[in-house]
Amino acid sequence: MSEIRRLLFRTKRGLFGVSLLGLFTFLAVFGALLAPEDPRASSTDVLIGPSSSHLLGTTEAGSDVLSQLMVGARVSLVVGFAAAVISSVLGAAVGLIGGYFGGWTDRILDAFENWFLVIPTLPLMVVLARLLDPSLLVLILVIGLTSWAGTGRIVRAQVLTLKERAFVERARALGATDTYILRTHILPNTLPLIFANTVLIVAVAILLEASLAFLGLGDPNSISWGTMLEAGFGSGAPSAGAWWYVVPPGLCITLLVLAVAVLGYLFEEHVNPRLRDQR
Amino acid sequence: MTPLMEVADLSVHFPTRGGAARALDGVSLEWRRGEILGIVGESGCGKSTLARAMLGLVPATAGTVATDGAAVDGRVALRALRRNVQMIFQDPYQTLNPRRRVSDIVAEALVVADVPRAEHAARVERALDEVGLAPARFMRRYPHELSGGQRQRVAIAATLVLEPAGIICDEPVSMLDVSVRSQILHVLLGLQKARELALLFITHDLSLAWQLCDRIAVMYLGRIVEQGDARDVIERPGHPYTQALVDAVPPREQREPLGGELPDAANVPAGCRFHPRCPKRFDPCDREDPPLFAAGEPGHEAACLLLR
Amino acid sequence: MSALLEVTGLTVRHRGNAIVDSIDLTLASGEALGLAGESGCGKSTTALSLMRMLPPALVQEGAIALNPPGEETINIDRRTERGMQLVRWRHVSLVFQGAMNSLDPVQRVERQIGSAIRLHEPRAKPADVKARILELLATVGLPARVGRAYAHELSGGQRQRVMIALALACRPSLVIADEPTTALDVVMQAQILKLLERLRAELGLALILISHDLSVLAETCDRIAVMYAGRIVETGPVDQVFGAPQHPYTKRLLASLPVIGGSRALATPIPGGPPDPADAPAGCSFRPRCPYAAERCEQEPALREVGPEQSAACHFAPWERWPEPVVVEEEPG
Repeated sequence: MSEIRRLLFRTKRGLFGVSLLGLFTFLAVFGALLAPEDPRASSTDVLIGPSSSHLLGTTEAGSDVLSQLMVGARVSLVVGFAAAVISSVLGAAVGLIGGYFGGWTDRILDAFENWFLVIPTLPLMVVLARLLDPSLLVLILVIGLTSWAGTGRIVRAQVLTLKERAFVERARALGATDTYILRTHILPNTLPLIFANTVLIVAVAILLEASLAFLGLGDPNSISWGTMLEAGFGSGAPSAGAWWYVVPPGLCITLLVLAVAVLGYLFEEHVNPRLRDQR
Repeated sequence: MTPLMEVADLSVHFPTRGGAARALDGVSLEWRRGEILGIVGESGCGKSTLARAMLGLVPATAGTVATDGAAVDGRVALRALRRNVQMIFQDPYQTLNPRRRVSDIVAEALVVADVPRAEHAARVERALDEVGLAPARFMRRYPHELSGGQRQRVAIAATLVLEPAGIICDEPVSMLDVSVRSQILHVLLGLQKARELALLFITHDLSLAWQLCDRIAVMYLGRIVEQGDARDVIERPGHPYTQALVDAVPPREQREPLGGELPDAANVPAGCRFHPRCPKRFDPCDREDPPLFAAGEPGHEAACLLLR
Repeated sequence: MSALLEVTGLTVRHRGNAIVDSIDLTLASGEALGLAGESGCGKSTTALSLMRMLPPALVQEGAIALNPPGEETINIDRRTERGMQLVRWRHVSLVFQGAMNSLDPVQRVERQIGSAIRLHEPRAKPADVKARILELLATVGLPARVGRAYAHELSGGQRQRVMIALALACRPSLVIADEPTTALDVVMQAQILKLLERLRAELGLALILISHDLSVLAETCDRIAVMYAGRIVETGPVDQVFGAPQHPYTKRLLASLPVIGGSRALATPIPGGPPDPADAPAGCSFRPRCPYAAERCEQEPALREVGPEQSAACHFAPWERWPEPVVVEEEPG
């Protein structure tokens, strides 16, 4: 564990990722409390640039951009993490079962997985988001259900190697049940990989949420960076030169995704050499 | 006295693209209580498959496995066998789950066998003591904190907790350094004497088999080609392959070593399976598959037409 | 006539700790030297340092002089990386440990051997390269069709032979083989050893053979150097060292080797394990495990001549007879 701590807190990448993620998480939790104004409060100061009363200017409805930005962090992070968790759990389950039991189970699950891998994610999500009532929950489910297949693949590969290890064979030689072996030997040795992969999926999920919101398919009742971008473009902010409306949310999305991705690769690096040589 | 395990005409054939791979092709063997039986052969000869087939880890295509005179058929019998006969593996670095502590690893057999938890600690400690690892120092450690020799000791301790009558050792020391090797062998022999264990010692190292085993069975391409008392088999081999193995052990005399390689298990030669490489082959060898003939001393047999 | 290889004071450090501690080696042209020792003793590190192929975390010091017949002396320790590229494979080559898995899985064998040949003869004609590939395959006892094969289509023994062919590609005068037979069966091992002997005889090759298996070295080598904890503790002609070892480690190591036809009693094992380089004991490095250790052993013994051409690093060598060993506390190794 200390190796992870070293990677997280003593490397530049680790500190970058941890501090940014920490900042955004803080905002997600306390944003609503700390926002200077009610993000939905409209006023007559429409599309005004940054000033002392509105540090990041106002929207086309006269709402405070900074407040919206702070509150919007919550949606991005909640959707991102929740969707990633669903995706990981599903992918891990499929990978574990298919990889361990092999045979027809594996072939069926594998075909299932291929189907999901091949479907273009964004069009699928557009269709699903249109068919179902848009709400955060639906958003989370949609993202989770379309991104699990990658995890499934990776987990399956790992399980296939683990199955052949002497300590698994030994457990079988003792007469252990499959459930026991999965629980005691396979799963614990797959968890680091699943975790590293989950972090990377968080980055993907955040981007997907922003994309959907930007396309107008998000939850209309919530404020997120994606909805800000949608509203911003929709109200002609770029051509009006109102950069304070679209640049901050875009920047936040980028930074958050970057931070998560950096951390994800960090974990993967930690896990990877041990995949090949478990000494 | 009935042997601990008896194998009759055991075959294991794997379907492959090139035809059936005859990993085991009619093996009959007796493993007696309290004896150290060596299974010797090159890699690919089927010795590991034999061990796994004996414990039901690999399904047999034909033949029978019996323990204490009773056939092992059905789950109840198999479960009982797996408590009575345990196995240790070759690679000490792969044999222990890296995420579990030593005490959990050693106690695993007890967990699987539903032994009451209250008994676990005492049994685990006793087992660690017997392999020379002080429980107080080693119980809480993880495998990566142990050396190769220590890991192998843990693996041995893990087999002792159920008080087995026999241990199958699949190349247990071949990946260890020479000085550590002799330590582990000492542990195994000490246990064997103290508990009157039977050991099935699988190895490709003939000199090790010479030193340790009471009886030896030599395998070639899925078949036992010679068996008997260890000294008889090695000092007076009845089969040309055994002779070639003995000759190949370094430092060797300046004779030409045996040429060629072990054929694929899917391409077993017709007649005597060794005949393409055999320096002593003669006319019938490519047509007749020899059974085991007597080779001199009592209990010593070899499958060579020269002995007919 | 100077020796083919002269190594003086070779030391390799990792974070300040010596993994190889000031060793000297000489090798005459066509001679076979065996480097014996267990894992962690520094023998593989020594091999890599002779080729200046250590990973960046390891720092080497000491003089390494190579005198290829008919050519100028090459000071390996003083060459730049570019300079070393002219030396590697052309004068000295290495058959790595686990060499069987070192073949590129997506290239045919002939392509890999061809690349090795062209390393030092970039302008060689394709026809000549092809002829040389066939010649090399024949030298190592492989049929010509192996050239067209991929690594996974070959057996372990065949792959090992290909690795040896690769090592010979540029006609070096010295080949270092690191555990060339460790993963092989006894029959395959015998074949490879016989091949190495034949190559020595036919090509006048000098060989440094590294192995933890003393019996393998006994068969193939003229001289042997036994390493322990980064130092050479004994060296001499093979027959002498095996017949009359002068260092307790060598003696115990030899005693633990089973010999067919010999005693079937297990010798008392050497307790414990080799020392951690970061935690090296003062004085003789073998002292904690030595059954004959005495107060004098707190001083590090120098490697000195104790017989005709035989040297040992032990205060009490030469041993006329070996006294009763003191029982050492058994530390599980």
